Amino acid sequence: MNALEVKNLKVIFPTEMGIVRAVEGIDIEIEQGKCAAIVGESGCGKSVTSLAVMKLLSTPPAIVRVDKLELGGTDIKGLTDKQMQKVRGKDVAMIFQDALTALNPVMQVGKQIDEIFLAHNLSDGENGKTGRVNRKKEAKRRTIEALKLVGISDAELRYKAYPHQLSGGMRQRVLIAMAFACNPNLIIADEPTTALDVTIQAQVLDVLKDLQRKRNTSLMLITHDLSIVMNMADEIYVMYCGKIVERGTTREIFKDPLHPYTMGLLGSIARIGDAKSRFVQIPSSLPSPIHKPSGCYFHPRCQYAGERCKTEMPPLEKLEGGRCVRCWNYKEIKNGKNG
Amino acid sequence: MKASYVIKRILLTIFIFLVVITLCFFIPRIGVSDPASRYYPAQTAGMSDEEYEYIKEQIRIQYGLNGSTFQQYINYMADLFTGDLGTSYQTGSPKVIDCIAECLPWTLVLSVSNLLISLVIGILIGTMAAWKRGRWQDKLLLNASTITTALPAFFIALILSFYLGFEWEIFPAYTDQNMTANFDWSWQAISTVMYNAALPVFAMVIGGIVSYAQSTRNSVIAVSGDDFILTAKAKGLSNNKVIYGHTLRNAMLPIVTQFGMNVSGLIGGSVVIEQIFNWNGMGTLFLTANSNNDYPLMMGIMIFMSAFALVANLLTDFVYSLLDPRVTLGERR
Repeated sequence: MNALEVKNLKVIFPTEMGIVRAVEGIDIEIEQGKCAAIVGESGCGKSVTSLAVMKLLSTPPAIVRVDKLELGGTDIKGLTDKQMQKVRGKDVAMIFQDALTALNPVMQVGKQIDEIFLAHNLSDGENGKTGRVNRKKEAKRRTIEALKLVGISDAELRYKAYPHQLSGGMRQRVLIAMAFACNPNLIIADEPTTALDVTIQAQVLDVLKDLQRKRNTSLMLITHDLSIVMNMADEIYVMYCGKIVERGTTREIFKDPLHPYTMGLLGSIARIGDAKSRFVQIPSSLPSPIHKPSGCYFHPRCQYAGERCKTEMPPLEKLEGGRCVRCWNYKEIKNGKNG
Repeated sequence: MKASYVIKRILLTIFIFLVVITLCFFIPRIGVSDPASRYYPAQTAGMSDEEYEYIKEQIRIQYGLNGSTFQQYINYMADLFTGDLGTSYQTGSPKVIDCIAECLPWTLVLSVSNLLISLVIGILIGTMAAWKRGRWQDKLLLNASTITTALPAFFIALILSFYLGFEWEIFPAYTDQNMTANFDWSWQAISTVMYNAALPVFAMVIGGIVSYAQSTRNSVIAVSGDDFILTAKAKGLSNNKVIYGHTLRNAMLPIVTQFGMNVSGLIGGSVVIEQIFNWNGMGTLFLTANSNNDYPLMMGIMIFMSAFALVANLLTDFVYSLLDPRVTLGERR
């Protein structure tokens, strides 16, 4: 059973300048306990995808269409907002990018975690005491437990802290504690460490990875940082201009990238013991989401682009073992590289 | 909030207060060579200049205007510390404190009801406009705010008094002067006050409501776009929890500042409106004192106004730091 199954997700934003097709029919499957990374440049539709899965996009303005949206085998496609409130936080949780803005500045962080337990009625006292006071006490006890779990020392003291009184790494840990609070099946982490120093990043990722393993939680990791992906993910989806251009296991993608865009992304990260080669840049930048190029969206930036790439969008070709690639010339490129 | 900071703020407020009193004392006396001159009797025939000078000196002593201006200042401050605001020059020589005590409640009737009505209705309308962002309710508020910003309260007051007061005679255009004299807390008296206060309060709240609504609307919309609102929704909180627990709590912070500023204007803010409706409040009292060179009364009113404003500002700062933990008054990080 998959923790998440998305089929043909489309998100459109009608704007005054024109229609923005943020996500153009993507499929995602995440097995229980696995971590899938969605990788791509800023503006390629990663975050919109995650919000669409949580059903957190405000409609209007957004228009969301999806053929199948299942969470742990349960269909959530047709749920109303009220029904989704019972699912959010409990079955699927989210970790946001910037913990300073993602936490309410005028509320103690402990209280912000309490809210999840209280909202999902998980804080009923052990011996059947369900009064308001008891529920609050129990929520607090669970919150402090959750804070300790993500490695926050003096959890009782930090419970009373306001977000601005904590360090960046500490705040991100609070968000992680919040996401794991109700032990959800799936956690969506949207650039969870982008706002942190590299050293703190490693600590926070360790905490995340550790908890994910222990709890057998599935993780949908949204990032543009391939070095994080290498350590965290089991499977990678490479996204470009709202479409999946390549999918494969982490090992496959890093060892043997098929799509020129993936190659470009990999060319732009540093690897130890790889001193002789220079960083390879992908030329130019992401096209405007309103006026996407004809044919393959990547062709204006692709050094292998041929005539066909300029007129026809290649299909997402399925290879053996779940591997997929969206490119007309991937075989030629591969042979050319080897030969 | 540290105790030492609180004490420092209070001491500073007292210092500012003393400076205000000093300025209030000297500024009206600039360019007036002998303020008592209007009370001198004419020099009758057969009265020697010496006798006349003696009479004038007696009058100056009577009004406390003898000696140098600086000497008067020292005397005034000495009296002030004993709680004596002096005696008004009005006929009957009433104590200044009594004049103020008589007028202050009537001003507060207008200004406090104006402030509370503006605040409550303004916040409600503003929240609704933010909720219906971009729809006709929101656009109506935007247009209303353009109009009320361009139309000062006294102009609205004049229009209201003309139509509702003179033309259609729905509400009194002029305040019934018996209202204050015969007030006895009976239901009859209270309803008379409400009837008479209707137009002046109405004239003031139009601008007040729109102003609070506009800032509430902007603030709510700004906060709604903040990341922590998304976090709150992602936690699975109900809409009410998100709105009351997270959005409004943060959106109200700028409103507290605005409220504090309006509280400091409670005494002096309705001078013109009081004049238009002939309302016997502090504004009318102040204007009378001004045109009569009634220094003790002017001073007394100004001291009240500034003390009120200073205390209101002080309290706003303290309250704000309680509401927003990020505001750490005087603490060094």
